[in-house]
Amino acid sequence: MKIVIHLDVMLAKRKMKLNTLSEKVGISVTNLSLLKTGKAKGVRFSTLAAICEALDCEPGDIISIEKE
Amino acid sequence: MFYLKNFTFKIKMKTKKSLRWALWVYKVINILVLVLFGLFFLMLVYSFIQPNFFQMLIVNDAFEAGFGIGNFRFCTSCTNPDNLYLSDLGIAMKLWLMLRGLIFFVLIFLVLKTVKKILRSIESLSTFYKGNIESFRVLAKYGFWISLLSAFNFFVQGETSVINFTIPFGSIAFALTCLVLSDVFKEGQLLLEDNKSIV
Repeated sequence: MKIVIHLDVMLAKRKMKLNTLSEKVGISVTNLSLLKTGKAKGVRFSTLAAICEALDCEPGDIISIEKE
Repeated sequence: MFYLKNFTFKIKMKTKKSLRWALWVYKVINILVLVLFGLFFLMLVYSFIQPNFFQMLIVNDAFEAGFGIGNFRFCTSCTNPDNLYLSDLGIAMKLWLMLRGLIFFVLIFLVLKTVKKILRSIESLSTFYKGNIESFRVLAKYGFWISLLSAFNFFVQGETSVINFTIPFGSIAFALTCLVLSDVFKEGQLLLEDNKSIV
């Protein structure tokens, strides 16, 4: 089982750049980039809520589980 | 949120204040160590040139085992036959006194320098980093060296030979505390890395 982040897909759907999301959410581009590439070890509920609010989506749209 | 930020700011300010105090105390101790070492060294060197100058300086404690160079006492009217005066010491014993003192002073100086390094890194808000873990390990190493050197001392002159032994609990405790702290800082570094990798 693997957690997959679909932040790049959601950004493309909303036609939003990482910089814009960073400004809206208040999280550095570096941290968002880590999240996007799946290098982050975890994500805080507050961050997830802020991203969902900015992208107008549900947590399930950004995070999903994949069977290996 | 504002209250929390204010509270964190207050804690940081308090830490800064206590660190400033610690650095000030460090400076005072450093100067004291240097001055005392200078005096000790000059006194011993002068005792080689003018052996009778220190006729009233009792150095019995200097040959006891334990941390430090012992108490040097000036006595103008002491008649105790057990008293050992600096002027009575032979060259070998004076050299031993000098060497032991030098080693202790160098070790104290190195310990102080390492402590300063740790304090400076805490001041610059990079407490849990690899350098501090190493510094605590180095401090523990110095502590064990001090324990080893404090454990014994001897006095050999003419027909008298005395070897003193002791268990230096203080320096052993210091070394062990530093080892524990290095592990605590290692744990702290891991937690910090974990925290940093959570977005």
